[in-house]
Amino acid sequence: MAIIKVKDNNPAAAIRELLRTMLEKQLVSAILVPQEIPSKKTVVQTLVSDPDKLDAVNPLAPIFSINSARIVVKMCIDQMTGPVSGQAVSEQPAEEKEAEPPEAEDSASEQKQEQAPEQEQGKSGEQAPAEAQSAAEDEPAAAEGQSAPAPIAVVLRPCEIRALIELVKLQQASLDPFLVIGVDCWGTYSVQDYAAMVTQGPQDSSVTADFLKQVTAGNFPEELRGACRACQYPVPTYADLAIQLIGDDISQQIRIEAQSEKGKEIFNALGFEVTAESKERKSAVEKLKEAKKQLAEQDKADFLEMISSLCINCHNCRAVCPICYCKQCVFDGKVFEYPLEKYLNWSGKKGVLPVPPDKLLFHLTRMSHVATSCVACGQCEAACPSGIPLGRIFQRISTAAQEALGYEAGRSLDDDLPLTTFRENELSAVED
Amino acid sequence: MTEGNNKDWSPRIVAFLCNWCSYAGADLAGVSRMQYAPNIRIIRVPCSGRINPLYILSALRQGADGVLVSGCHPGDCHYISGNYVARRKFNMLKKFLEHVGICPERVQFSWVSAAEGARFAALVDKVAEDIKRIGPAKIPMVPVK
Repeated sequence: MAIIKVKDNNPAAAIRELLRTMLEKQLVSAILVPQEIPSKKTVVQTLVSDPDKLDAVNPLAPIFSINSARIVVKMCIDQMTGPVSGQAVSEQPAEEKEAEPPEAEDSASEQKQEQAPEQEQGKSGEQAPAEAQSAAEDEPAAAEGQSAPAPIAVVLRPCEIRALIELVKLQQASLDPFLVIGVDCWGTYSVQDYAAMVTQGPQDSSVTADFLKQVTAGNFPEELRGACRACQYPVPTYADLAIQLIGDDISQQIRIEAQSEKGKEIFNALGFEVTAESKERKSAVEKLKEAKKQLAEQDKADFLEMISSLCINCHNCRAVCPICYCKQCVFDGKVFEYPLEKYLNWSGKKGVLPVPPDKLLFHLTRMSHVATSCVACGQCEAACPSGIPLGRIFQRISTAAQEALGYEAGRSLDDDLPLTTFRENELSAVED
Repeated sequence: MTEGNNKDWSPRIVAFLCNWCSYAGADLAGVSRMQYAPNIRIIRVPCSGRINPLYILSALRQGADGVLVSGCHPGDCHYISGNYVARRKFNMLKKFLEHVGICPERVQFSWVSAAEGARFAALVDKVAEDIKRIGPAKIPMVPVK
């Protein structure tokens, strides 16, 4: 645990400088972190390996456009299947597409650096002459072969980390190449709301600063995403390094804590002065959870009616869900293609048949697949063109399902997935 | 068609029975000439653990008024632990049926061994009675009354 001083009332800048130091000291080989685009209307995830390309980094921007656990999964493909050359090649373009750097120029330089990390090492070495010699003299490939390469830092929200943990347990990702940096989160706006606020907001102030001012004062803006309004996980459940904001006056200082061996190494290398834990933090986190609980209870939705009337069967919710990882979905196959005769038969039975006929079945199936691992990030809701509050519905249902099985998605890497294990004496209430 | 206004209606219940216990139990009920409600349609599966929740949902979606799932008693599974896993799966399914707005009683689970012909007959009567009380399924959902 250490305290990082915040300058100019800008905690995002303090985090940016921390990340820059980590890159400069070559403690990490690259950083996956959201950056603001030049118009500031949104942020995109970028994989940065040059400390000079961190200027627009803002992990505190209250916007959530993609669950980055999906990006991490894409980056792990060759880690999961072993060094199969075909897969390693096909992974490259996917990674670049997901990273989507703000400028085309960045994209070119980033791509170059990804492919040739040893060049990057040399380059940052020039800025620090003492290191330049050693970096330049060493045969880079040999140096890498001797010791484990520096990890790739991934800066994630609590819900992204929870999704990532579930995906690791589902054998879709590996944490080995990564250093997970978790950042406290008060909630986010939808992509549209965020862009509108940037356009309409005052010139001299940023949406991020306004947002932080409001939530630290205990006010939750109306526009907060449905899933965020009810979120019970403002703090990362797992992180190598946790950046702690809640419970501190973030205009003055933020805290950083190493929560794993991997994190401790980096923490020690950064040379922080060790301080005690914040006394207010625990109560502040509890207070925040309680406030969110109140917000969640105001929300009631009739799922059956919503699905049957609003769903257009576009499957967007499946496309963005971090937990929906199947390569081939049962709903994309021939199972749900029916001959005309069958439609007429169904229609004849009840006199009327809503079409397409499998809307509800799709959602129920998806629910039964993801309920035990759903982290309620609400991306399904954001992706729904009809505005079905899927995030809140899934949140309620998955919480109930997980409670019944004594499981909490993303709580820890050690809990077994609930449907892969059992106890002999449990759940006897199910049977009559 | 709304609930309860059709006197001729009798429920259609799909029963997924495991090959080793419950199906044999049903067989025993049959050869023992026990009387039970004629509302069930039996589908034999290798193990209750083999039943994908999708099958249950699909049965409801295609017009079944109820679903019965039955397997070996806990500890007696032919495949050692299939029914323990099934129990967790069904527990989860039940949890979200109620949240979704489908009466959880439409889907029932019970354990029946190969020697329990009488238990099977009584179980089917009970399930049929329950579904009759709940009424015809409103699924597939019709947006207009």
